Formats: sequence, C-alpha cells, structure tokens
Amino acid sequence: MVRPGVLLALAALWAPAQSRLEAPRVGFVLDWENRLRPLYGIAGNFVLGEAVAAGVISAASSTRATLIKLERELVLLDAHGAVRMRWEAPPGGALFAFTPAGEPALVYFSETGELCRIAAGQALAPLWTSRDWLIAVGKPDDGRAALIVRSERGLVLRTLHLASGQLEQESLLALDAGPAVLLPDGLAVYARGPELCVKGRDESERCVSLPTPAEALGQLNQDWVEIVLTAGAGRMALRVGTGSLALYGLPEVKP
Amino acid sequence: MPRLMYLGLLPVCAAAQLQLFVLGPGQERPVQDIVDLGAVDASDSSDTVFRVRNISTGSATLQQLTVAGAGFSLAQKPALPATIAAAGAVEFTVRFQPQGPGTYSAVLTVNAVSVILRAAAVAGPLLWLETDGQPVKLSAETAIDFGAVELGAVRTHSFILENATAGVLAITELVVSGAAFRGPLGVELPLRLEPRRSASFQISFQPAAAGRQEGVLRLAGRVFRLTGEGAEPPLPKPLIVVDPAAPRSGQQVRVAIRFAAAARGSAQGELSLRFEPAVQGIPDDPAIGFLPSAGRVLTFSVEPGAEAARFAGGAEVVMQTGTTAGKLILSAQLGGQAAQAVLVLAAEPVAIDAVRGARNGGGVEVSLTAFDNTRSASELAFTFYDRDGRVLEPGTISADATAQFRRYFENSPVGGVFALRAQFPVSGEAARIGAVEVELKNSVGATRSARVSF
Repeated sequence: MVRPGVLLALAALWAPAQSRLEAPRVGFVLDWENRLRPLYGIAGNFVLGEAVAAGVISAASSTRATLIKLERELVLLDAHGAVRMRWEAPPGGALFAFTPAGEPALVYFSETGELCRIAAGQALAPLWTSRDWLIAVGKPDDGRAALIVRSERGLVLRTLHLASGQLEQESLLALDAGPAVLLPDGLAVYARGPELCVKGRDESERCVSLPTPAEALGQLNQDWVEIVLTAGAGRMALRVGTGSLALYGLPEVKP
Repeated sequence: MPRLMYLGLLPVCAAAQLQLFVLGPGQERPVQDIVDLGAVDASDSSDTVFRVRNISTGSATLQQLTVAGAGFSLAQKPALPATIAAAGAVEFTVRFQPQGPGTYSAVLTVNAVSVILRAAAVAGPLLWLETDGQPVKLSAETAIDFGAVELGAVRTHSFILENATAGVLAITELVVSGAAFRGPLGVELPLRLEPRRSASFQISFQPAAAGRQEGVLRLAGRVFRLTGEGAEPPLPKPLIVVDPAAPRSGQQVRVAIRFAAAARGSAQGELSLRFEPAVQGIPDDPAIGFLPSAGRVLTFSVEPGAEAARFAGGAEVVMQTGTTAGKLILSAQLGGQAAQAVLVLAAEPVAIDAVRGARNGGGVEVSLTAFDNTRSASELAFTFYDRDGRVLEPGTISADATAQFRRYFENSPVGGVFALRAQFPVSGEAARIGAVEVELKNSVGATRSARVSF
C-alpha cells in the first residue's frame, strides 16, 4: 500500500454528504412535437421524462450540459435541463460541439454559416464563416475545430485552426454517407447505407448494421449517439464508449 | 313450415281501427284486396301468417275471422272475440292444402272487411333432399340449410326430382340464385321426367364472406329458400416466443408470436404485459414495456398463410425488462385462443453499467451508473490505485449508504437504476491517482467493478 507521505492522502472517510444519488440521465431527445425530453436509464433500459423545452430546432447533449437551438435563441441547459444561459441567434438549425469534459464549446449556425465559440457566462464569440455543407462540428482540442463536410468527394473530415479557420488537415471519411456526428473525444460517427460506422482518430473503423438506414444522428452524451431511422422505423441509441458497438431501441412519445 | 307473408286490409276494418298485414321474413307489409299466396306442389301445403293491428288510440275488438274456399283453412287463430289494445296486434295463420293441381281462391273475412286469397297447385315433381342416404321430402318455402361452412370451403347437397304423377313432366325452371350458391349441377334443362322416374342434381354452398348467406331455388313455379353460414376459419393457437428465452433485468428482449399451424384467416389479436414486482411497496417500473411506445398492450395482426403474428414494426417487438426483480407475464389473445408466458426476473447483485473517474479541483470524482433490482443496496467501497497499480492509503474506503439508497428508491421514477457521484477530497498530488474500483452490496451479494483509469 502506498503511504500518504509518498503520494497523496485521500479523505479518510467517504462522506455521504459529498455524494449524490439521482436518476441516471443519458441525454436529451426531441419528440415528435419538437419538445426536448430527458432520456433516463442505462443501456437497454430507457425511460423518457417530461418535456423541458418546446419549439426546439436542434439539440445536442453531454453529461454536463445540453445546447438547444430555438428559432431565435441558443440556450444552454444544465445536466438537469434548467436554463444556464441564453444567447440571441440567427434563425434555422445549428450544429454543436462539446469539450471532452462535456462543456459547450462551439456552435455552427447552418443558415448563416457562422461558427462561434461558446463559453458559459460570456457572449458568443464569432470565429469565422463557412459556406461548405457542414453536417457535424467537433472540437478536438483547444486550438482546433473539426468539421465533417459533405463534398463532391464524399464525407470529408477537416481539422481547422480555430481562430483563423485555416485548413490544417483533411481526410476522406466515406464516399457515400448519410448523416454524421463528431463526438468530443474525436470519434466520427456516420451512417453509410444500412450501417452505422465509428471512425477513431487512429483511422480504425467499426460498423454495426441498422434495421433501416439512418435519417439523422444526434449526440446524447460523450458515449451515446441517437439514431433516427428512415421510413418511420423508430429511434435507436448507439453506445460507442465501450469496446464493441451496442445498439438499443429507444422509447418514443408518439401522437 | 309456415309461409310468411303479410296482407294489409284496405279499406281497414271496423271504423278504421284494424289493419291487416302479411308477415314476411323480418317485416310486415300491407297488401291490397287480393293476396296471392303463390304456388305449391299439388301434394304439398303452405302456411301464411297474417297480423291484425289496431291502429287506433283505443282498444278494438276482433269479432269475426273466417276463410272460405276449398283448400284453405285457418291453421291457427286467436279466440274470438279478441280485444286488441291500442297499437296492439294479433296473428293468425292461413293454410293452403290443395286437393290436386289447379288454381284456388278463398275469401278471408276480418270483421266487416274481406279480401280474396289466391293460390295455385301445380302437378310438379317432388323434391327430395338426400341427407346421409335418407331422402327428406321438401315443401315449398322450405329453408334448405347448408350449415356453417368455412370461407373458401364448399358444401354440396344432393337433391332428387321425382315424377309421382301419371303423366310426363317437362321441367323448364330449375334455377339457383344467391351469391354463395352454385347450381343446379349435374342436370340439364329442359328435363323430361317420365312417370315414376327421378333425376338428381346438386347445389353447392361456397361462402366468400362471413355471416348468414341466403339464396333461392326456383322449381317449376315453386320457391325453396337456401340458407348457410359463412364461417371464419378457426384461429391458430398463439405461442409467445421470447429471445432470449430466460431474460434478466436491464435487457431489451425480442418478443414474437408464432402459430402451431399456418393461419387460415385474418384476424387481430392483443399482446399484453403485466408485471408483478418481487419487491413490495415500491413505485412501478416505467421502463418495463414494449418499444417504442413503452406501453404494455399491443395489437398484432394475422394474415392467411402466416406462421407468425405481425406487429406495427414487423414480426417482433422489443420489450424492456426493467430493473426490478419479479415476474413479467405476457398474454396473447387471438379470438378465443390464448397463450401466456411467465418470465421470472431473478433478484441479482447490483449490476454496474459504467464507472468513470475524473480529477477536479482538489479531489477526484467517481461516478457510476448501475441498477439494483432488489432495491436493497447498502454498502459502498472505493479502492484507489496509483499509476503503478498499488493501492493508495487509506486503503478501501467504505460507507454504509443503506438509508440513502432506501430514500432514493422510495421515490425513484425510473425503477432500480441510479447514478452515483462521489466526491473525494485529496491532499497531495491528485495526478498520481491512476485508477479506482468500486464495490456495491445488496441483499443478494456484492458486485465489484472493473478497475477504471482516471
């Protein structure tokens, strides 16, 4: 056993006051009326909670925060769905990026092509404008932004200097792919035909078959991606944080 | 068998108080001064039911009721005088039994008003129905019942035409009508039937729709009713198939309904789910249900030829088993057929879903998600390791969290799942903390997580 003098000393006793028991929240999802609902549970055992926001156009979550885009507002929610911050925003949808710690990092406004840095308690900081067809935004580290762009070549993963927007690196992600999402730890998740694939920074690729192709993807948290299936085939969740990919059905609120 | 018609007596009887009707199947109809009772075989008879209705607001008296004419008689009548209340009615039956071929008439008198009855007796062939080799003579207006026949199936009756007269009979009318009936089969018209000779033919009943079906056989001026029942094929017995067959808590399993034999008809059924928790006095587990609705009742459909039921999303439905020990009782109902499957979710030690460790400020935070399907979690233990894998002082840190877990589960709206965040102040260099292991106990046993790196 390592002695305190050698390394460190943990508190002698774990104090219940310093712990918290609560319902595990996987993330937030949109229902058929564009209301934002918490998704509780663990793998294979999900429960939808009551709506906490309405009129939501875009949303993404981490374990610590949720970003939602309303018609004219960008809203930051805490892990419980309470509003932490509001910003004025252009109309239309948005793409979001979180830090690996789950803090909000970037927002890309699809209608104006504007990329902004987000920091709680501060005004949105415009960075630069892109006219490319962006379908996912990520923030791999402090100085860079990662983008997934739909181009004539297919889905392209680009790394850019955050402040200047200068292209630093570009690689082909997939030739013919559908929606995509960039997770905070650098994983790129994208739909390719009837498959959903995850590509790591080391270029390794893992894929899993879907019942029907994916229509949209969303970040539930660092480890979970929400999949909206085509043909009204429902919603699923992909867990990417463990070694093998695991797919689960999700409950839905339907009319 | 009574011949049902109805006759309206116009003008009506006795100061316009009584009106006469002839009864038909399911209806009554006023008629004119002359009532045609149709044709019967000369060797046959027919009954016709009449109704006398009091259409006034006061009571009326039926004093006279007679039928005068060869071949006609009153087979059934009320005792006279009969008082008929306002809007009330009495019925009587006129029987026509001819003595030989020819046309017949009679006068039917009801109180002061009379109507003419007409009927005909034809020297036609006798009609026999073959049932189990035993012929049964049929009377005109006889309902020939084919019984209940499955949709798409065929039931055929055989008939015999007999010429019991001394002369030759030329039969030109032998017609079957009615969508579900086909015939006459095995006979060609015109048919010349010598005295004392007979001929046979068949009629088939092949219903295309469920329910009562009706048709008519017309033979030489006489009418025979054809009846039958279109019956849905019997539904197959459902069998509930769960994959995996012995599920545990915290799983999404697939449920299908298969049939012992391919279905022969279409139908709709219902699959329902009931949960009996092993732990008493706790809130319901809302995760238990079918996806995507998370409800506990689903409908399914059955198509002809199918060996399995079909749900809205396909041949299977996903069911969440929740995170509470107990029994899941699945029930399938398909018409009169039913099946049940009871799945026992055994009590288990706490199941850990994920553990994370993070350094923050002056300490470390350990967060984990797990479920306890017994709702009896009690002791927690955390063991920290340095980057070389050696246990850090003060060794395993334990705490009894029984009360905290009990309070949490008493009000938990999400079943047996929980997220635990534990903060540990650190004096020294927190960066040297390399990993943590967590152990939780409940009434079944202890669970230890894998070693999770910071």
